Amino acid sequence: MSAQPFQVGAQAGRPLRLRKEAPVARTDQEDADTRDKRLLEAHRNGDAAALAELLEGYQDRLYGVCLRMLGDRERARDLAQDAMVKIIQGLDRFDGRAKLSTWMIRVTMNACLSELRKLRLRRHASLEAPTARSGSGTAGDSTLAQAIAIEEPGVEQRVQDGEDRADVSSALARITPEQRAILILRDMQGLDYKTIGDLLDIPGGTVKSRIFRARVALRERLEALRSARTE
Amino acid sequence: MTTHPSIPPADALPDELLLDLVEGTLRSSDVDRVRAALKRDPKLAKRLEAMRTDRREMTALGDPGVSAAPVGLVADAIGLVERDSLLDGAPYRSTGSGFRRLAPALIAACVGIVAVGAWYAHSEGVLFAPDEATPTQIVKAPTKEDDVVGPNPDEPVEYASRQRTLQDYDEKRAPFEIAKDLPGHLPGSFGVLDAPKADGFSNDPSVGGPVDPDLFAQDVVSDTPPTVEQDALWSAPGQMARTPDAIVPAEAALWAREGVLRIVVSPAGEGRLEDFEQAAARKLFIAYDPTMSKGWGMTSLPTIRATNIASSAGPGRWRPEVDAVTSERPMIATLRVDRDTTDDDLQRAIDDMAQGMRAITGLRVTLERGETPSSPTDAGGPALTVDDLLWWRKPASLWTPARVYHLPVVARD
Repeated sequence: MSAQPFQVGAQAGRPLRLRKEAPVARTDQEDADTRDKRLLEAHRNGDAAALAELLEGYQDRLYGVCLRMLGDRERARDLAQDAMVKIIQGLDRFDGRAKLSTWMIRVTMNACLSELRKLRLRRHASLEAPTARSGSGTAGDSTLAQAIAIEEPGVEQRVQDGEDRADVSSALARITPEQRAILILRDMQGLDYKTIGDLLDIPGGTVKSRIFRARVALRERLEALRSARTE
Repeated sequence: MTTHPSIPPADALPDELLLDLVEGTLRSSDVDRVRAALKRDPKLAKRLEAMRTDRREMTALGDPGVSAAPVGLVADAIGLVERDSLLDGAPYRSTGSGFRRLAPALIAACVGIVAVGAWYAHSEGVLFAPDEATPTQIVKAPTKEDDVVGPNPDEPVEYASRQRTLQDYDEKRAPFEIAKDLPGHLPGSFGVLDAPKADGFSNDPSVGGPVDPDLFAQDVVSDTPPTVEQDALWSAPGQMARTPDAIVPAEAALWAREGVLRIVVSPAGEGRLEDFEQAAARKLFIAYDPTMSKGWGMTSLPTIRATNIASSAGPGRWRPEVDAVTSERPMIATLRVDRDTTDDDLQRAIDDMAQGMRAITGLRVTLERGETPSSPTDAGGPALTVDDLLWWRKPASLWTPARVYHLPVVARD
């Protein structure tokens, strides 16, 4: 028995910090999929630290999905947390047919799309008149873009990240959630067409054309943004 | 403009082919065809080139440095799952036993329960004023609906979402519950001291009789097993063995010990309540371990005030000043568990914690009687075991959702 087995006293009220050390021996060469399987198995065998390690390995990706889908850090944090809760709850039922990483992204993306649908419905209900159709988006999409708390980058941010990237970020928030989702999965998550199709329930034959149309929509929004700025 | 018969106009190229160009995956067999088509449509060519740039920027947006997760995201999510499963009748619904394995060692499992506190409830218009001629008694809980905090007993207990849980906390229990803004907040902590003002109870500490010293010794921390059938306590999930108005203190005490019930006692003398907390804080912090190196700790107690009191009192004999500061902070006992924690460790910590809680009870009673406490460990108490607190180790079929009932305790000499 260890002499000081507990975190107590002044530390007792601190948020939980699970140990970072890997509880299970692993090789340096193992790929992400192997690592995920190892951690999932360890988690199922009662290794408490394995779950935290597993999630920590994906937290940036999952949060990134939420951030780019919602465009607001606070909401993204809440939604990423909700998604993680769903992931934890679903781990026992995960059957391993898909990659664990893909499944986690799917859970997260579904949470985002569900949230955005709710937001869109609320915005529709609260609007007296629909906004005119613009570009490739619908009136609802336009109002959604307004509804999303888009983080317009400041001057420093533009300098730091590059103006193009800042513009892309803004334009991304102005295309439809479905278009946004498919671009995030492709470009930010680096998923292949088949996986994207599986994730979004899009027929395999139309994934590429959907992606292309999303790119066109993004470009149109970008050009509109820049045009408005120069006027 | 003439068109080469073998070269389609650029706008006739399929989207898939243009996408391949943008993403740099164009097959060599298609390169010449696409290049030739775009030569005749420089506007489209320029646009496609811009889309390549867009893609690069999109990819950069996904870099961890740009979209790094906030600190504590994982721990908070794990904490939410555990808290939802431990509190408020929201057992984790898993098809397997994974969570039962997960929960004990997953994160800091914070389990602490002791119903403590004693109040005066004796003033004009008191609903449950005791009969002057009768000995000390505890009056059963009122049956009004508002006194039942938590899921409707008539509804099946289901997993409560974070939103609902937090909403319940905010709307019904704040600030007594696991207040997320408490400095000592730890996922899964139990609030054990609640101080809402009950209708009909005086808030004036000058009225009302002192609490019977045997009140908790007999009914809350008694060594004598209450005469409650075990089957009634571990009812099927979603069901309470009895309706709230049928709970008797002995049952409540046992349920509290087993982690299925928190007793919320409505105070009238809040000034003294604060006083008691300080006394308990001083005793606990000093008597048990000023460095807090033991396996349990008290949080959210007004430690600074307790320190001030301690400095003005001699060792072994001290008496805190009574002031009228309202205390609405719960005492939270936390028991941390990590993967190195053995059952022996737990048992030791639980023993310590139980001893400390008994000390609180004793202190409250003693101070209420106007006496000077001599030892923080005078009061007797239940012998808690690891399984008493880590109830989720039991088979899920035996879990009983925790409920919170307002259980006014009225006592007098």
